[in-house]
Amino acid sequence: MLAGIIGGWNAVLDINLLFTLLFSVPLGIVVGVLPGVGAMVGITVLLPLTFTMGPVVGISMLIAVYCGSFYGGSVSAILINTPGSPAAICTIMDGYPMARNGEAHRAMNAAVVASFLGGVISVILLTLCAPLIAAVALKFSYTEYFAIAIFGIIMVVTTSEKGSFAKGIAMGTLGLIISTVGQDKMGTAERFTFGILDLSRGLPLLPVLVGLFAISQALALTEKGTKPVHLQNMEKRTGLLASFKDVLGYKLTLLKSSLIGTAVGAIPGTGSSISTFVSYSEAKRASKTPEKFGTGYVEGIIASESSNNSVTGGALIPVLALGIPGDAITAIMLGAFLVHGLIPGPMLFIESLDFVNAIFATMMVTYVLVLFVGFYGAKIFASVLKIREAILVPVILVLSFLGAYSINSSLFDVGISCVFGVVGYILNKYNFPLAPIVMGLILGPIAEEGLRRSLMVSKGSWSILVTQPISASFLALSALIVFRKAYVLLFSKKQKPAAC
Amino acid sequence: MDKMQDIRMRARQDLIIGFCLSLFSMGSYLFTYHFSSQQLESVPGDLGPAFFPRLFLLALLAVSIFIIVSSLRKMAKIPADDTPRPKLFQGLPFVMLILFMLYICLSLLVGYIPATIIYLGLTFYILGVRTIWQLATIPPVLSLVTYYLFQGLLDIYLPTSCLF
Repeated sequence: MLAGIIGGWNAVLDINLLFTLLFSVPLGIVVGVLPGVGAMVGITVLLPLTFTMGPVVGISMLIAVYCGSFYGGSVSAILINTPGSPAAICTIMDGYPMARNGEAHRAMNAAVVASFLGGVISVILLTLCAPLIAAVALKFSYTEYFAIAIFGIIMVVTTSEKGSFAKGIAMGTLGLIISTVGQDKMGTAERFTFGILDLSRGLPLLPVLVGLFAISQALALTEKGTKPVHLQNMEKRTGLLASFKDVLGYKLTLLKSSLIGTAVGAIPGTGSSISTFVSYSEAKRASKTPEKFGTGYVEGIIASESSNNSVTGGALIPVLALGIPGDAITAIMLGAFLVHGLIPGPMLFIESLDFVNAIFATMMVTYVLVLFVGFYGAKIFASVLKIREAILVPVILVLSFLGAYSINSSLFDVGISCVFGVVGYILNKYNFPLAPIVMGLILGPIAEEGLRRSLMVSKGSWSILVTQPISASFLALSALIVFRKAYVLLFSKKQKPAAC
Repeated sequence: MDKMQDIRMRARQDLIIGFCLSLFSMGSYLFTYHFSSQQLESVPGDLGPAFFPRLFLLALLAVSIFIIVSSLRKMAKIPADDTPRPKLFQGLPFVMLILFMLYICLSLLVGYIPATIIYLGLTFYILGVRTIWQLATIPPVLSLVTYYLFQGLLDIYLPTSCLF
């Protein structure tokens, strides 16, 4: 294992990779800083740039944008009281009051150091845990994959940030239906292709993602219009070591939040918002001065930022070890792996171990870059907040066009993006969550193939799903979650609408 | 918009989407009978190509009916008022979508660089950019940089003009 890790670090010393990371980390921070843009749009739009790169450089670029954006979200949270990404929602509670009290620099320094330390802890855990889980997953059959895919979809549906459980179920099911478009992988039947040859291979994943997340978001930004941004004044900056001292004064909070973030990130469907809320609440509960939380207390920022950045390492555990994405961003990452000819899952640790180790090392270097770039570039990133939607929206749309077109140099793909852009915009506007569609789209084929092959093995006996302990556990857990949610939905006391 | 209007508006929105989803699921379900029948019939236990789509379409139909019923119940509890009706597309987003589609067509006619310069300049202006240096520099610089990046460095061929 040690030799593999050293090999991974050797790959990071490649000058192309280092330059890519130096370019991607600030880019990631910028997309994180801009409210309404975020990692999802950034990664979707940048994905085509990786097509001609090698797998290590290409995937590392996306990971650098992913990690950078999580820190970037805190900049806007602290300076303008608006989280750049949902992950930074708890950073607002103490970050903005600190900025108003004339401690904007201290808050941003604490955020970047906590992000760095949280990220590093999660990468260490990823390096240790992912190979172990992959080793177990090697023994998985189609039945287990079916059960895990169903569990993943159920988790995303039940924890969707937007809308109700029914809306989440509807969107997850829609994603599963969309995933059946194209030629049946276990036969020759054409499903929902309407005689269009381009649809035979199924709906192309990346144009769908470009439409759902980049085009729809650009249209939504147009509607919101431009608001003047009032940045808080920033006091004189303290040194990096002083900031480390500031953060390490709350070692236990940092460690606990990072562990919570990694663990929550590794559970499919949970994501950074949940981890940051859990960590913030736990830090407040365990604190001797809980009354200070929410008034501009640096421990609140440390809890929130270390937690949401440690989600990055955790979220990659199921992707690398099982080939199952935990959220929409890692679903896009999974798509990027496939574009580069890599199939995430346990076999990746056997067939492309060098690649996996290089990714671990890249993530570590990425967080070191986040620390230095974030710390010394704080003022520059703050000024990014002055970029208006009027400039952003057309640029995102042009990059979306390039992204969708460049996959196959096909206008059909651009058309698919437009259709899904409109669908995504309407659903988003009407408070229907989009993440379950992507999860359904990615996990649908895994679930279908898993179930059909399992039933072929058992000669049509459905008992195969419950006689194997791992699949039985995941299916039972999924059923439990659905029944609990349905029970709450149908029988809990409903809130009466307010009187006129 | 007060809380009651907001609830009514959301219920109307849910009703529209629920209705669209139920129509989609019913239409698609009927379409599954047109799947070609070649499948692994010789393998016992195979569910066939239509099983999964039908299963999910029925699930979607059930959920969309639930959404319709619950939104109707919500609307019935709140007295009718002058809550504005939700519109699928309106104002600037609609204009931006049309311009984006025109941009795609234009890029085929005049090529990527001119189309992008025209599109960016026009949309910047429509969205309220009035600074001359921004209007004059960002569109050509962005067009050339992205063209060089994609076609020059990444060997991804962008649309060329079919007129010239």
